[in-house]
Amino acid sequence: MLKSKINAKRKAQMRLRLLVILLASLPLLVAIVWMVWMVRDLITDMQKDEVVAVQSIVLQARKEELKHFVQAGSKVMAHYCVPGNRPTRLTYEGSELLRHMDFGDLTDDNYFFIYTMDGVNVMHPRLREIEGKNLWDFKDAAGNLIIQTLLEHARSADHFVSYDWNRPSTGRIESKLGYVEYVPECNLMIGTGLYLDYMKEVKAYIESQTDSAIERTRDRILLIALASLFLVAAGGLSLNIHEQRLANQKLRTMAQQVVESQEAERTRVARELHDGVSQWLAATKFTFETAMMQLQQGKAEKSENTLDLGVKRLREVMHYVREMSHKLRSAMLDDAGLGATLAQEGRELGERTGMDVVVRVGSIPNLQKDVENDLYRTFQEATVNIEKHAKAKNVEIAISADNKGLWMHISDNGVGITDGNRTRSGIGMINMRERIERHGGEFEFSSQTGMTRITAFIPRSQL
Amino acid sequence: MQQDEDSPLKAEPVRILLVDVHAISRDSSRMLLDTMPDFEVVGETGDHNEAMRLAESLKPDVVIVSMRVEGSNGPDTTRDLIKLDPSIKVIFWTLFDDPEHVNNALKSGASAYVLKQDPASEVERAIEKVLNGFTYLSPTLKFIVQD
Repeated sequence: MLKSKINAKRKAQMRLRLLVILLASLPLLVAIVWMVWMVRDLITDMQKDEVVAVQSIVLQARKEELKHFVQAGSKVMAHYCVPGNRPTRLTYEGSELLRHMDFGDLTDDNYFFIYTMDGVNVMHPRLREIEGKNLWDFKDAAGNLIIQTLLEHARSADHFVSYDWNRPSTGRIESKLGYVEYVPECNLMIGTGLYLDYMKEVKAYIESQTDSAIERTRDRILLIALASLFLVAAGGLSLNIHEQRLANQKLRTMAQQVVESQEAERTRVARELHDGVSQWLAATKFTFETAMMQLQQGKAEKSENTLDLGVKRLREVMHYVREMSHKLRSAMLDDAGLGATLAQEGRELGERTGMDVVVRVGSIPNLQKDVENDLYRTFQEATVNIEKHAKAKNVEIAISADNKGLWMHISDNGVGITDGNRTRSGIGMINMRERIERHGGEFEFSSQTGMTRITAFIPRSQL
Repeated sequence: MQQDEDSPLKAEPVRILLVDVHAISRDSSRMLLDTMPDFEVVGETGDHNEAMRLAESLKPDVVIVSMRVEGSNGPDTTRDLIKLDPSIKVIFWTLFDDPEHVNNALKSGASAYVLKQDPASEVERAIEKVLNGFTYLSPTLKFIVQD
């Protein structure tokens, strides 16, 4: 009974604990998902900024590079030129030199180009077919006069020009950043350019780097999350195991207490039998033996007195035995039933203690033996508590039954059970509750100074 | 103590000290012993120290002890009595009929072990026997095997 109850209680506690673990884990999971999402967002934002920053740095570097190469190229060309308006043979030698001066290794598309100032292409290492042709009127798809624009910029302060050009290595029209300079010694324009698709590669490279960073971060967060969840679960589990162990220990201790108290009770009864009943019986036997001896010695008068004493002692033994059995179990309960027993014991309680004890017994049905016994024990526990601790003047005991079941009320106007004096009453309360609840009943207890009341109810079906 | 007028011919009655924690036992035992010819209960107590004091002052021939003695127990009281006066005869008169109690009593130096359950004549016989230098065991206890 007790064990199954504790098991049920433990199951309920486990369910509760599982719920707590779930409730603890859920926000953690939400937080982690949110964190992963945030980090992703953050890194993506950072990536955009970084792409812009890196692109601008790379572009700046490349622009410097373009400038330096063109400056170097123009120095070389200047060396081959004689002042004059038309390109000479020497000019072509110089331009041939520049034809082979590809630079950089990231793409194949770093080369010099040379134009006369009236738009004739002098040298183009990738598009040899346009060499010697006048491209003054060449337009891109948007209708911009590309060569004219280049020639303008070559003479101006801003040597950089953005335009679209057929990229040799891909054969596609791509946007290009050009740098052009006018070489006064040759009266030529020398330039080079950077296909901006290269920037896309930079972007892709950065993006791939940041993507792997996001993946790494996500994996780490997930790892930490898993570890946290594992810890939460392990913590909960170990708590469970710990609690279960405690509960088992409690159960064992309780079982042991029951055994010990039974043992103590038996020892007490044995001792009482030996020290009380047996000693009295031996003394009675001695008394009768004395009387017999006196009779044999012809002292009839003396023996009469001794026999009187023997009878008196026998009566005392009988009283003693009855008292003992009374303590162990009210003999009356068996013969007269619960109502009569409560009335009798209530009367005796009043006589013994001087308290005003009122017992009201309504009509109660015949009770099952164990129900009757548990109600009687509950009554005993309660009245013993009142007698020992309550310092009450009035005690009211009522027992009655109706179509719902049986009620037993015991109340007193004593000091009450407060936190200050709640010493051993706890076990008594548990005992009483246990006795009533094992029959599907309800046990209620309330106490304050001047009013302590217990109510036991057993449903009709259990009577 | 009062001399029994009915046995004036007897020389000296056996002087007995009663040691038993239960007053009711002492009362009834004393009455029984005093009714027997030749015996005289010269003192009674339930307490160990009092027993020592009485044994010293009254010089009883026999001390009858029970298992329970206030402040001690039957066997220990027996040892102390014999220490006090090696010639003293101690008889256990008790309700305990188990081997352990009997053995403890005899090991402590008691000369006889009689049960209160036995007929009163048993204690009479025990007193006679021990005064003649014998050890006496109630016939009820014959089952007990002793080393």
